Amino acid sequence: MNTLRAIDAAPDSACIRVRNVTHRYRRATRDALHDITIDIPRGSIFGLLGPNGAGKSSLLGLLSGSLALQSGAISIAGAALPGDARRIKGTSAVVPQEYAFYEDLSGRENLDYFAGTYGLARAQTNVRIERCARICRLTDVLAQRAGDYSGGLKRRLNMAIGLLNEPQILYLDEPTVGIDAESRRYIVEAIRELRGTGVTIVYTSHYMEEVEQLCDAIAVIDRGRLMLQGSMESLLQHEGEKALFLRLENPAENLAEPLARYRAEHVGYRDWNLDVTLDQLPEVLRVIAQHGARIERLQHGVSRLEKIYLQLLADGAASESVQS
Amino acid sequence: MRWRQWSVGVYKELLLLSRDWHALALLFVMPLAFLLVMSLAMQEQFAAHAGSKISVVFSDRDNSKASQALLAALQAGGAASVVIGNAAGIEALKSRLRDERHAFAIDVASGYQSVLGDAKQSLDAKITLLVAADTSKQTELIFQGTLREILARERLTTLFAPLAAAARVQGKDPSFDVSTAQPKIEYLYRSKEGSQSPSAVQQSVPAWLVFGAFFIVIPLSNTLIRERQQGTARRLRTLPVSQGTLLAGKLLPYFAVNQLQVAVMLLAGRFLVPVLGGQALELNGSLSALIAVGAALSLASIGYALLIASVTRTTEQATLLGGAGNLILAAVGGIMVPKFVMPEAMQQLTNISPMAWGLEGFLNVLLRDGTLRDVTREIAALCSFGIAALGLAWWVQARRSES
Repeated sequence: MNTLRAIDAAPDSACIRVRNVTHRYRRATRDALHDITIDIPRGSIFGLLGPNGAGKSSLLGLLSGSLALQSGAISIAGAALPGDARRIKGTSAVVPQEYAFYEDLSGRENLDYFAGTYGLARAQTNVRIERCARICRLTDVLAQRAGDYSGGLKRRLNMAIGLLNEPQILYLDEPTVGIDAESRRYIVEAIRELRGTGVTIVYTSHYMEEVEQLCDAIAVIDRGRLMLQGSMESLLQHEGEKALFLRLENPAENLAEPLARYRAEHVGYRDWNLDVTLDQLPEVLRVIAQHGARIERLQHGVSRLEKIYLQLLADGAASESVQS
Repeated sequence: MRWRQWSVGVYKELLLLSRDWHALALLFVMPLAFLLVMSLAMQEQFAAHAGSKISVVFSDRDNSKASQALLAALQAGGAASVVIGNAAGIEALKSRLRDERHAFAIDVASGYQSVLGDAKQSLDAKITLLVAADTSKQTELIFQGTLREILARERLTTLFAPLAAAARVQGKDPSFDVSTAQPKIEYLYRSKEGSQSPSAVQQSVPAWLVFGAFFIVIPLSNTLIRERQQGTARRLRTLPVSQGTLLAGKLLPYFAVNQLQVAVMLLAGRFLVPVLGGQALELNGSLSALIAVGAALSLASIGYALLIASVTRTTEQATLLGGAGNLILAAVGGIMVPKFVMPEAMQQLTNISPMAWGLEGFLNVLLRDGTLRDVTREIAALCSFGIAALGLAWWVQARRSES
């Protein structure tokens, strides 16, 4: 099965090049990653999407050097793995999904330890800690025991540790999962701040809205195979050729039947997604008017990432079941 | 850079340990409590070996010159602390043995003197040895031997009395010195006060020190497992630092804790046990041998801890396996029950426990005045075990990270 869809050509300025990478864990019956080829543009925020167990963490593990490369090639900022692993590790950082720090140490003690492990000198360490604490809004709680932090503060400390070595490449593995809105906003702001400094960010998340807002390009992996990759803009436009989004003034549930042939989907209280070409649009508007509904907002030609993503996974699953 | 990476690791680990009160209690309070309790509880048992006197009630119903001579011989022998009982008979003595803390009672019946002078008559009708219920078989046999020797000497003296009188008439020296029939005794343990047997504390300090040292398995394996569970281990693998540097930064503090345990236990034996009524530990042997055994013991306990951490998945499993494993190693290794009271087969079995190697190493130094050469075998065994366990742990961990 080759379900890969390349939305646009790989950019020449790729910071991370992954070529034909396959990885299989010991005793596993299938590849965790199979023949993956991805280019990640320099200075971009790159979304790595896929359901649980798709292979995202394995790919992050290979890119960050915590897993050994079995086959294929990976080059990062011109350095090849595994030969230049030490150099690559010095210029990149991983923010894992877990709270990967010591709960019995304070925030400052954690930052101090990881800064030292990066090999930063004492004087440099203090400057970096202050900077990272400021970016992640931790300055006021640095003296507190990390185990006593709220979930949001723990995520921010996790993130701050990842920023200590001022990485050129930052791997963020679901950095906003399970936290309050305020902490999520701080983290998203921190990521935006980093974008301005030229850092290349590889980002995994299940929050499609967040990915859509933040990422310049994405790749979707499912069951170890690359399903799609490309820039966010071209993807949304390409996939959105027939996409019509409607927000009505009232729920108007009576529209489901007359609009069924346009694959109408009631996605929110007053929100609808339909597959409608530009030629079909006047007819759809007429049906809506006939049923007494009034349109508050209409958007055509740009799809939503979540819709594309779910459709892609459904197509992949269908294709897999047909093959098997 | 490597120095900084290593030193922050050491500092971090010390901070974590200093905040883990449970671990500190386990590493210091538990072995110390065992040391104090066992040193004081076993004091009498060891004192019997160390020359303290066996308490004996002496009942003289004969009230003769011969019975007084027997009493004097018992008192002079040094083996018994003799309490004079009233001459109320065997039943009264039995009752006294049941109520009071005496090991034996001796009843001298009327007519003892006349039987003593008649070599054809057995003394058992006139002398009865009563043994208390809680007197050990070993003590009983020792005291029986002592009493037989005294009775034989007294009978000889009585039988030789006419010969002595004749010699005196001829102007010759009639005395004979029974002390010339004694062997020369030399103890392998040599205290500062001269030759004597080891005290309870001299045995307990090394035993519970070794036991406590192996308990680093719990904090060390727990910290490694928590790092694995919380993703910290994964994060550390992505940092520009070698696994060797990380491991050294983690293990050195535990090595230091082991050495601190050795120092604390030796000091407690030396200064704390006497305050509580026990005997003071005497620090015999060479200091370099003591340090070398301590270091080798630490290598073995760290290797064991890493092995437990690598084969378990949760802190609960590690605590259970490490703790239970330690108890088994201690029971087999002669920590809980001293090796010398075990039957021969069990004594051989102790050799499979690394705790026994550590204990033997410390005993060689502290009891047997050992030098570095005297503990080479124990050090080699402990180091080999430690290195093998480290290697196995590394292999298991590498296999796990591939799956």
